[in-house]
Amino acid sequence: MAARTAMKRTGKMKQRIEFEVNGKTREVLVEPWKTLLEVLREELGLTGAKMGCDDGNCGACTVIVEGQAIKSCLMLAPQARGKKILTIEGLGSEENPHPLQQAFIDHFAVQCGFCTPGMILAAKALLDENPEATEMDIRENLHGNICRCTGYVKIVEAIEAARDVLAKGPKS
Amino acid sequence: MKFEYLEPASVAEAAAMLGNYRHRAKILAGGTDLVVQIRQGTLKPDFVIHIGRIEELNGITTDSDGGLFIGTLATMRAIERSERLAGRWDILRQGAAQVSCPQVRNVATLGGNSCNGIPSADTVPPLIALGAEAVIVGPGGERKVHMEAFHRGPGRTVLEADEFMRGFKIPPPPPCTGGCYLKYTPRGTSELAIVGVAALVTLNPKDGTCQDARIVLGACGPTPLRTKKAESLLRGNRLDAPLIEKAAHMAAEESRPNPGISVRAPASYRREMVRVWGRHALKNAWMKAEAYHRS
Amino acid sequence: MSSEKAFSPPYSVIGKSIPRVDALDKVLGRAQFTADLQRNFPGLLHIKVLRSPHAHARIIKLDVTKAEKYPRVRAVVTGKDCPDKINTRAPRILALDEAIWGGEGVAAVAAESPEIAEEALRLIQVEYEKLPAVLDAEEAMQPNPPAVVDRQLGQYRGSPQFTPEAPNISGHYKLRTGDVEKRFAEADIILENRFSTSRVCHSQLEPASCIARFEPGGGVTLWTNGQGVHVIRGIISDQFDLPAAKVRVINPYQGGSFGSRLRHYVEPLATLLALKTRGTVEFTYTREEMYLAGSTRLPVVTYIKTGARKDGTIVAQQMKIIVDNGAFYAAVQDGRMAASGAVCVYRIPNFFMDSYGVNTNTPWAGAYRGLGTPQVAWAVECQLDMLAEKLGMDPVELRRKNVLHKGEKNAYGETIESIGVMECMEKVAEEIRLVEPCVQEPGPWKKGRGVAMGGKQNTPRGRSEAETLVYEDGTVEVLYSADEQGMGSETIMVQIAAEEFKISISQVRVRRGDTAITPYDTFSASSFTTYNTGNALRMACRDAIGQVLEAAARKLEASVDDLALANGKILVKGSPTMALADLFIPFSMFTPQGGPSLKKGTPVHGKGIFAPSPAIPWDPEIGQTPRMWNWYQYNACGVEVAVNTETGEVKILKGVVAADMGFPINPKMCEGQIEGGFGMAVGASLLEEYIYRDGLMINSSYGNYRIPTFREMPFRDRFKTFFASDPLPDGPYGSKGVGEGTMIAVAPAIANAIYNAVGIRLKDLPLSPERVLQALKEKRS
Repeated sequence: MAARTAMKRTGKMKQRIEFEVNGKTREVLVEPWKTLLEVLREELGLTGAKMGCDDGNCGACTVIVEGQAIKSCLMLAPQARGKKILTIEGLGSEENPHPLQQAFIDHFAVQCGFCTPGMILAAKALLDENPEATEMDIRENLHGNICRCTGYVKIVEAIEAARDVLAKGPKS
Repeated sequence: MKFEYLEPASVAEAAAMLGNYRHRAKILAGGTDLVVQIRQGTLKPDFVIHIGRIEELNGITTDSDGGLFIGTLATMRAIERSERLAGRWDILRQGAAQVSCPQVRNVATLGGNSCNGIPSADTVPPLIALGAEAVIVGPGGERKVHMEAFHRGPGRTVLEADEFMRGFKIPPPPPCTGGCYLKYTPRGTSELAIVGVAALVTLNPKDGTCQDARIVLGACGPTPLRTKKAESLLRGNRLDAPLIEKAAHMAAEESRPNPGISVRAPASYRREMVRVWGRHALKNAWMKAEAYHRS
Repeated sequence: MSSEKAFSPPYSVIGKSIPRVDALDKVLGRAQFTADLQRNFPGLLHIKVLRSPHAHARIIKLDVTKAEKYPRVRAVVTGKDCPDKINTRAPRILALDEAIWGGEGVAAVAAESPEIAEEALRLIQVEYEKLPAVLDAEEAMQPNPPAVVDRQLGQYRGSPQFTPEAPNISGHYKLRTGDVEKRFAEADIILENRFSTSRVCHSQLEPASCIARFEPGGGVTLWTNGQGVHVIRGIISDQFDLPAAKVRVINPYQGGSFGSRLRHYVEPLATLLALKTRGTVEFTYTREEMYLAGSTRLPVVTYIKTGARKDGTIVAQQMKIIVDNGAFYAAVQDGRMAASGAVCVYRIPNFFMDSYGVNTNTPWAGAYRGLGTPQVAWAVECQLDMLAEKLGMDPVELRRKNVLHKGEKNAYGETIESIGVMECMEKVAEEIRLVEPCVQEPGPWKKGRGVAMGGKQNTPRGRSEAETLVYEDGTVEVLYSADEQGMGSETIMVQIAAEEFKISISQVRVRRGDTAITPYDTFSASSFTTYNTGNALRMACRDAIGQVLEAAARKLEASVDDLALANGKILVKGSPTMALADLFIPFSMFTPQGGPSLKKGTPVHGKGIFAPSPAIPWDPEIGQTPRMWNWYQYNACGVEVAVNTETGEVKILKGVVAADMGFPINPKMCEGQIEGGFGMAVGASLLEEYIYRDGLMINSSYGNYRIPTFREMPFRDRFKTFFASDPLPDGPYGSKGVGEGTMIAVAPAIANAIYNAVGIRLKDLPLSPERVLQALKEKRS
């Protein structure tokens, strides 16, 4: 979608940015210094991604861009132009939750819930890439997502359970 | 933090923009460092030049001399997984693999990891150990600077206001070269290093003595630091555990951790960790070189 | 791994691990937290605060005119604009003429965007004159200290025991029982040590956030993640002289708290600026502000002298406990809180204790999970292991010898009603295989095992009210105001209502945390929500059921004693007869609409109030009373660690925790609390501390303040949780609380394990790699 022609000077003005979010084309008009996190939350009302620190340390802002987990507080909105983005709102539904979402419920991996959307998406990115991720893999790959409530025990349990469910059935 | 956002479509266009705005501009590649610094107000550019879509700045290609050229936009993830960087180049993969966490590695670039000038950057000691050169684009064309000389101090590099990084030229490591980069933190790679040690050992294929050794420290001084006295203890000699221990000690003595209050660790502890992890990294590198030597 | 079977009298949902009722919303990302609501408020203004970089400074110049004139700034306030009433639950909103800790706010801007507010802050001209600062509590408590931290300490509402002679001491709790001098003289062995803990911060993922809307007619509505909507309403109404009826406080979901949100540091400033701008403002702390100005745990220094006989009987103990409040006395540090951890476990007939709260020029401390008991258990449990070693005794046996039993009195003079601590200890010692030496492997890692135990008081704190609305279709609304900061109170309340009404979980709906709708409660603290609010809810359920059965008795001309309500049906002597719905008379022109019968459209309204009996005041010279606290929760912890003798790193290889929480209403949720508490305690034990330069905290980010990640917890098959519970007579279904217990015994268990591994005895937290390595070096030389 990005035009390969020379960019016009826009001044310190808002930029028109088009991207695909949860399967739908969206367009926003924002200042370029807004992060993807702010755009998702403030412009598109997708408040599942959270701001826990705003400097890339807690992972609560994790979303999936072009199939990779990224921390959306570290990406300027224009960098996301033309990309495919998946937020928690695009993963599963009440009627049909994603196995990770179901596993987080079934295994009590949710307490306050603030880290949960980022955690689930980071886990999804891991399992998409490594469907046989072991507990060690899970701990090593998700240590950029912080939880203060659970001690991580049931989060690991839930991800392993989801891994096993996904291994059996068709990929979500 | 207000700035004008520019997105050049080519290297030439980027160079022209940077030539125009100079000190008032910052180059944006992945952004995992720059975005935080701008939003926290430590950097206040009027212009942000995003080079992230310029394809020619990405990729890993082989040079005519058997060396590699890695584009500045190569992400940590791409480097971590690159088959081309297996074998004698692996030390660079190890460095990239230990940057922060997977989400950051998906986006952070090799160029950015050098250009932000953080003394604990994990890819810089491996680049220095490999003898890499930064390929720099400026108004006058291109120039090369050895990575050993690239950093000037915390947050400062040799880049002039109208220059930016195009990529890294890495000469082919000699046969029988093993490398190891170890990053030590109390909490895994998502923290900045307390010490980072890159050890590259080349054995003489004829007699198995140490032909060359590079020991480079991160987070132990205002810039990444090559500990040449420690290296010279090994060069020309047959390696054994006591000699490696001696070299690690010397490396610790050459290190220059900030004596002031640190959020990460006091200087005395960092020095001690250079001794410990220098030993481990050297041993590991030596074992890998031995494996090549024997095969 | 819980022992569900042991705790299931014939209940249908109590004692079962029902999935959390809020989990679906949270995994779908649609659970609303405070900042998520901002989009709903057009014209929202944003607040940013200018903070002092000095530990102690006089503000000699503060000129905000340029900031006020900056385009799209709507208001700028300084200390002069703030009400001068201080409430100990709400630190001074902005400094007046003296900034007393690094990070205290001196001015605030409300502007149309956060960026504009930040830019305006930079236009504020401020000049400080640095003053001497006192950063150490032991120094600060002396007469004529280097600095008087808070000149208003003696004037606060709910005033602590201020003494002008030692102007930084906020309180002094004394315990005097028996004759320690005599018993020390008779003791076979005496141990004396000093222990300390660091400043630690809750670091909950969701920053403090508040939206305040000015209401025409003079009032405010607040949406906040602060705890205790009615308490906040009271504070705001009082501070700003607003009519109580015109202040409304609403809680969305709260993203963790661990005590942080029990003090109110965003609501007052948001209210001030909402009133000033007559608009709607939001104030959300940055992560840095959470560390600098968002409440912390109390650092505690403990001097402990223990005298014992050869056979291990403790005959005398003397303790001096110094609790560092930071710069503001926030209503927990009169010294008593930390003290309770030393009193509730062991039989110590001769016990002198002096426990002080002391102000210093550092970030202020408030409530933090465990409230001082983990810090004191750190000292007590390490000392006991040292005593065991000196006596050549098994550390579990030493504890067994001295532990209190049900029916005995503790040093306060309270009679112990419920104490499952020794069962907890036996379980962990067995599971961690304490008596077996570890098999060491070649290399720098050395393994060791250690155990510890402890208890925490529950504060008999005010009353909780709850209401139930029972609709004709049998569904029930539960109304309560305690918090849901993640511990699962909503689920517990649903379980209680489902059990009492004998309906399914899906037929219960919770409405929580809105002063306009839900009845009075204090807040969720001291692990008492299940106990206080749960009890109130049971009463509200039974009140409603009573009303239903009375109506049914009239209709059926039966005796109420023969009737019951279950699953939307009235049962007569156990047999379902009529549907609940049939008791509700529909409207018709020909039927009277007054009278006592139930009417369609009006739910049955049940109310319950629960208040534990109050504490009984004590003579301040001896500190004894038959009722200082309410019940106690207990915990024991066993760990196997590996210590790296080259680097000083400590890894937790295995962990076992056993908890006495009375009765687990939802076992999996109890496990979750225990696991989370263990993780938090590992952080406080090994990793977390404030690093200061010139009195200003410099590691104020998640990158530099080390809270545990996935990698710092043991693997799943190496971490076990057990319940060894002793039902509480007046707890709902025998339940106590479980949220804080795990914090208590972890640090000493780790230190005892480190000693077992490498023979070094550490007395200061955190047990960071450099401290461990230093101790190892000192041992070698």
